[in-house]
Amino acid sequence: MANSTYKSRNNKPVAVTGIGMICPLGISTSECWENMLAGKSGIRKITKFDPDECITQIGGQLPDDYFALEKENTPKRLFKQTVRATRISRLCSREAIEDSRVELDKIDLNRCAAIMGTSGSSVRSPDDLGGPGTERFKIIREMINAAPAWISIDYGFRGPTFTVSAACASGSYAIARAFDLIQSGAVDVVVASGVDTLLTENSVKRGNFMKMLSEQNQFPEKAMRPFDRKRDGWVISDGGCAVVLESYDHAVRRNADVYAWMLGHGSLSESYSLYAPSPYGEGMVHVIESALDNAQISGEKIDYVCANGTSTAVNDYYETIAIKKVFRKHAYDLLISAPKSMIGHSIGGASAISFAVTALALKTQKIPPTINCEFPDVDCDLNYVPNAMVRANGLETAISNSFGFGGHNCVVVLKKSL
Amino acid sequence: MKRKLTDAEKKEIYEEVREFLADEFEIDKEEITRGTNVIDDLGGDSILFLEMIEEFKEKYDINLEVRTIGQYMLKNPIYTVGETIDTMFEIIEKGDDLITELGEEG
Repeated sequence: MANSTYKSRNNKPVAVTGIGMICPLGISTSECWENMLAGKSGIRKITKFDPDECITQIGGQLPDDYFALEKENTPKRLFKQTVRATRISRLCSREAIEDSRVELDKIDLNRCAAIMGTSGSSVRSPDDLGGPGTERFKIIREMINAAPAWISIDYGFRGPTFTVSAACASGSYAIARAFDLIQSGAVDVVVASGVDTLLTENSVKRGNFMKMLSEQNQFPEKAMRPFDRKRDGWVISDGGCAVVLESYDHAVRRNADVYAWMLGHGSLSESYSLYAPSPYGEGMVHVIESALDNAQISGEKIDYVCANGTSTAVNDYYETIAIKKVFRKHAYDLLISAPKSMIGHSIGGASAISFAVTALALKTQKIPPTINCEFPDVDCDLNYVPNAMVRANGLETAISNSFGFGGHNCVVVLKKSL
Repeated sequence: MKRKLTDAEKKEIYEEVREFLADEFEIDKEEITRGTNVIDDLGGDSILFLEMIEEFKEKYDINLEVRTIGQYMLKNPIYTVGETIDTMFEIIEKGDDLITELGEEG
């Protein structure tokens, strides 16, 4: 039987109309973006907890003024009932909704959804306590679907609200699900977010054991160096991002200001390893090609790649190989940059941030740099927009890569105008 | 066990409930009246009442299981501060008899 809530299924592009961001470089989209364009680093010595027993003692902490913002916008009772990841998600979602200028009192809230991507910070940040009276709310605080549930209550959304988890690709998986949901005809508007707060002693120790984190404690701002020969791993960050996605018809009808149009995505599994990408970027090639195919666009049309760029020996080498395999000669014409060089790796938050960075790049025709590109790596020989932002007039189409632990890969395709 | 609250005790409980809510929602106690809607006006939730019971259990010798009180509230929903106070009086005054009432009704 046909579901009456589904309107016509279509392949129309989906509009990105709002962005909210909180990361080590700022507590609003504009602040984060300006600092990224300036090539600043948000990595510093950890003060969130005592890192003395950790090999890596640096991380991407939220800016100090985040905590005032959180306090000002989180009533005491809500504070007790939420973890920080939920609070970040709520704040980012509010900024994104306000930014979109969608008038919630004039639209069908039955056709609005909220989807969050997270690797599970709510249950993996045991030191994230809310003070006295918190313990009795343990269940609702820690359930990983809490953030979209709160957003549905905050804004009266009655469409689907849920959480997806795909490690470092969680945010883009949430966005991809939002895209599918809109194209299915089930909803008009989705607030999709990616958030994690895994800068914890436990995560750093485990990350050190797996030799995936940078150990460059003496130079925090230099630690994240994707595609550079002296890269030695990443640093964990806290942060998140929310975007408002709207159906083509909905955005056009209300004459929305559109950052970019999402044309499609590839969401595929490597089916290889829990922590290592398949040899020579085979899985990465697969997912980029899948995304281009889904978006019905050829590789030559892509101008910019917002890279996964984790600053590990393996990822950056394989990602470079994958880009060359997919784009062939055109790979050398591409502009490629890695936001993680500046903000570290916020796991589930990172891919949502990358998606927003890609949309902002298309909107502003400016590409933030990959910082700390100082020592060329012969195996990483593409244009990574080293150290300084570039103006890219005519920038039209871009992809955002995210490759997660567990082999969860997601690549999205965005276009400036239709 | 049945007991009868005096007017002074009722007044004291009313004030304590207001203080609890004022502290929880960071507002002036004077803003809270019997007509205040706990969910719509204060942004409260269904767990709030159970929290108050926990707070008042020892002082008012409430031996009822929270589960029992929850069952009672299913059939006697609480929306306003006035209803909250009245339910609190019922629980303290009726004690175990509340279980009997639930049994008879259910």
